[in-house]
Amino acid sequence: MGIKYDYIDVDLLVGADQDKVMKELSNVNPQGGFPTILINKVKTIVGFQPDAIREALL
Amino acid sequence: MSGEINTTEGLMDYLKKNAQEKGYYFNKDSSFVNELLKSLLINLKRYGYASCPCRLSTGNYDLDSDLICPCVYMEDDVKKYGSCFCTLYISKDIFESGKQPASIPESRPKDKLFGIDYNNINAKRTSEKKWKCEICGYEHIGSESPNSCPKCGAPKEMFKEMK
Repeated sequence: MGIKYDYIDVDLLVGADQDKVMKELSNVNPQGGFPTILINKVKTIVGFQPDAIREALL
Repeated sequence: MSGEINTTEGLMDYLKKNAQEKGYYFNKDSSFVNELLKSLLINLKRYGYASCPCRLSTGNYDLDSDLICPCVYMEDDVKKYGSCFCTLYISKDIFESGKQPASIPESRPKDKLFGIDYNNINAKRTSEKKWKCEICGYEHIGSESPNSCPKCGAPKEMFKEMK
């Protein structure tokens, strides 16, 4: 689809780096869970939801 | 769990046997299930237990024990929503209908959600040790070094405690 993306393996971060990312994550996804996908900084999709992801990208 | 579960096939056999005994159903998407199993195996090697790959583990068994797959929330979630949090386990209805299971709400209690309590984070962290893999530099926090390095596979002995 040629979509630009960036990702972080949160479980591989250590200590304060992980805390920082988890705090950011809790802002967009208060119930937690992985993978958390943030599309265009507004739409959050949790889990493997190919149809929802495709729809959000259209 | 026995010591023989060190491949995705071995882990699958173990979980399948358990599922058969208890009447659980797996997601029909085998490539998705395989990816989940790979992640479970990473956790098994990293922490010594196969904790849920869809949540953040701490490496502290007491804090993570509710997340060991199948997690303690699985049965109720399957009953209530038709699948577990990861959608690895699904209900008989969803299995038979062939529908794609949707994401479900998190049933894990809120205070455990992020694995750690941010208000007590400093107290917890100072009581834990920091370890570094001498081969690749991977860092691990916990009372003990991991059984093997999740990044390069080096054995436990290659971890040195960082001061």
